[in-house]
Amino acid sequence: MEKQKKDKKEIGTKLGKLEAIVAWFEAQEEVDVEEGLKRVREGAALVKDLKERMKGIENEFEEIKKDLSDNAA
Amino acid sequence: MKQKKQSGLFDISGEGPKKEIPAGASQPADEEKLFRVGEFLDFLNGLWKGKEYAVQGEISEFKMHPSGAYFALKDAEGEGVLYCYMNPYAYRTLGFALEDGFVVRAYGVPNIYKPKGRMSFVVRTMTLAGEGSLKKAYEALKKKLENEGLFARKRPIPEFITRIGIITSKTGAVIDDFRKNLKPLGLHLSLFDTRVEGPSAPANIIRGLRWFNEHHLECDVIVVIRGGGSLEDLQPFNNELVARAVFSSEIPVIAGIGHDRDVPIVSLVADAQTSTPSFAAAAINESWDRVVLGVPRLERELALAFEGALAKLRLRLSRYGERFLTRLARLTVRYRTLEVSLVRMFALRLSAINSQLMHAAQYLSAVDPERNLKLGYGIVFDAHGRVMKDARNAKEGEMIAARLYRGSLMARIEKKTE
Repeated sequence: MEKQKKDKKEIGTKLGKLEAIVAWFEAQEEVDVEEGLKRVREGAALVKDLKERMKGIENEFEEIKKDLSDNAA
Repeated sequence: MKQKKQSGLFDISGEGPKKEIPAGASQPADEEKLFRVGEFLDFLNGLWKGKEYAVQGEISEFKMHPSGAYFALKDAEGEGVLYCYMNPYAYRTLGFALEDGFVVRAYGVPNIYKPKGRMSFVVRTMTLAGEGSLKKAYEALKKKLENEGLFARKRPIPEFITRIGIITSKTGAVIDDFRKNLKPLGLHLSLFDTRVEGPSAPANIIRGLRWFNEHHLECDVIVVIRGGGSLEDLQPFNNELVARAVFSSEIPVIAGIGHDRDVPIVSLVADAQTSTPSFAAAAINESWDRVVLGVPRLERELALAFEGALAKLRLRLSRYGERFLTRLARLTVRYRTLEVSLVRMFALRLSAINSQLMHAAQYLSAVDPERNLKLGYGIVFDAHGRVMKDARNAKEGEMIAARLYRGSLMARIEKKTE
């Protein structure tokens, strides 16, 4: 559970960073090429990580085994 | 262990059960046995023990009393009347309010109240039957819950849904459709198998909602799904208790209940409603859109933004280059102009100098001593080699020298005159 929560948080954080990088480019009148290149590299690494996470991970399915007290009533 | 219940649907036409024959009623031994009244009533009540019957009829003479609900069931046509009783708990857990004129399907067992000798049908539960009753109950509940604000509260469906609690039947196509329509996102699906139709469905669904809230608080959402059906089929989803359980859930609820005209009350109360289980799956997929669709879009935007920045830079450099060349061209023109001016100025100056030199040469030529010597003039120097210009400075007897055009003369001063 903790791992999943952490995983979700990481996805959100990485996505937020990527969006911020794109927004930074949009906000610049004149892009500092060195700074731009640094951010592009950072963005490319984030894209790679996020795509890796989204690579067809199969869903897990379970049927809840109800105990006797759950079945009663 | 509960004894297995037998059930069958009966009309209350007064002809008695069509399928059930009281056990032992045709036995000669029983016919010969002599009962006391109370004993016989106990015997009769015992015949129905552990069984359950379903009786359909229209409600009349409905009365609510602290001790329970009392009403009669009768056929729309015919003379049969069955007096019924529901204990307060059973009535409260129905999930809809009864009123005269409702056609219902009551599930229960007959019982003869010994002190009065009166038989009543003890109703355990019931469902509504008949389009009119269903519609009326639906509209009444919808209005009631809407007035209470149960349809207004909509919690946001979380982003990146990972753990999903599913409440539906494990048999049938619904759960398969739902699963097939989910993208492979590493989701964890937990199914709480439940009836989604019939008298036991409301309690089942409520139990599922409670179970996920008590055991699976880590669930991001609970999904309540079932395929389409008539208003009668969908009764569990138009049940007040189910609707309130959905509202009470701490975990956001997505409803995916197929329907025709009337949106099920549970769907109206849920935080998000979709018209089919497949659309409920799509809603979960959408919670990942920011990544699934967003990342490729951001990747494109990032590439375009950087390319744009480089293009801007190239354009800027190109403009700087053009400006530099333009300035250089201007400077060259200016230099050429200056050069021409300087050359002209120098030429003029040289000419002026030449002219001055010529004048000076003419002047010098005019005042040249050689010229005067040539004309016969001479220059007299004293003994010290100084030019003598005044006779007063001369002394008689002093040696002097006279320079002529050609050669010099040495002489002695004999006499001087001033």
